[in-house]
Amino acid sequence: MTELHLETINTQFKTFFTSNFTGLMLECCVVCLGSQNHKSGVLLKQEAHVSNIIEQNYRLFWQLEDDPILYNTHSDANRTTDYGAMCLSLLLADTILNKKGVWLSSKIGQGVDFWLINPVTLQSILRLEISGIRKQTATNPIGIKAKKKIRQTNQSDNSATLAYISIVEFSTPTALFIQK
Amino acid sequence: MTNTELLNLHQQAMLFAQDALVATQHKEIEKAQMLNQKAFELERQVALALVESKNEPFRSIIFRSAASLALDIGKYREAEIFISHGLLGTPPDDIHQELLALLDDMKKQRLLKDKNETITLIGYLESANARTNKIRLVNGTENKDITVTSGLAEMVRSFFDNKVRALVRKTQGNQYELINLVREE
Repeated sequence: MTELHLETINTQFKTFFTSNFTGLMLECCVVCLGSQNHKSGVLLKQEAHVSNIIEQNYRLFWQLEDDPILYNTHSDANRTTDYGAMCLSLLLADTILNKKGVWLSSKIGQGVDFWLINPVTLQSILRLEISGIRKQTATNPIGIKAKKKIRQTNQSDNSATLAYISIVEFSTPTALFIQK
Repeated sequence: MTNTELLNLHQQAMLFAQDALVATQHKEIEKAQMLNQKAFELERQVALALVESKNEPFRSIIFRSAASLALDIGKYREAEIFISHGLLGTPPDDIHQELLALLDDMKKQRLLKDKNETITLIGYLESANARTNKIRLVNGTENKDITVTSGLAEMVRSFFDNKVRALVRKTQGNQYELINLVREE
């Protein structure tokens, strides 16, 4: 089974993001997992609907201590879940998509949007949309969220850019990776 | 500016913006504001260099980003300009929708800010100056000069020597700009 070490977000993306920001994503991811009583070594189920359906399980590892201070710092549940989902989505995107380019972030509302671009032509290679769910419920399951996202896309998207949706759910934990 | 220079400048802007998000999460509001300001100054340069560009979606991504940063630091007029530039290009549908949503946010935030910065003054309309477009409200020993953008003569005719209630907006340098004037019962 493939191991995924959350701390690699700090090294793998250091060219594109500040250490403070990758640190934030890492801490939020640990808080999201810890809040669902998961410990380092927990299983992550990943289902990717790209050119074909790829199902893979990962063991998630982290060294960051499950400290109460972390929970106080990251008390904004929605933002923390979004940043936690960004951490896992970016790590998985590198593995699943296997495309080369420069990760570009752009400011959007209260967060950031992620694109992989060709650094020479500035043409976009793909867009990655990320959503997080701390704990799915009967009224907010991961599958429904995915369908909703895809439906929105079908209604509006005329873009030639490849777009992917990554939805991370922390209670099970599960990651859905869907090509639009 | 070459593509490499544009990309580097944008990346620098985003490094500041990312640290601003971290500061916000740590509730360091002043620090976040300062970092967003730096991010905006750099992103504005990238956006201005792309006005004539047809390189989509990069162009509209940058305009949306510059507008979003402008909004974060309360530069509503600049946010509006960048949103307009973004819409004038050929953004893909999803970014087009996001630019429109940002315009909506901008309007709401601006309205809220205006509402927060308005105050009510009560006093007697004792004098008016057609040359400077100002009326003077006197309340006891206190005088307040208020700029009127239109209808000065009509106001004088209707309210001169009357006690009035003026809804005003405080502008730079502690000046007052009239929004509405009614007779105080």
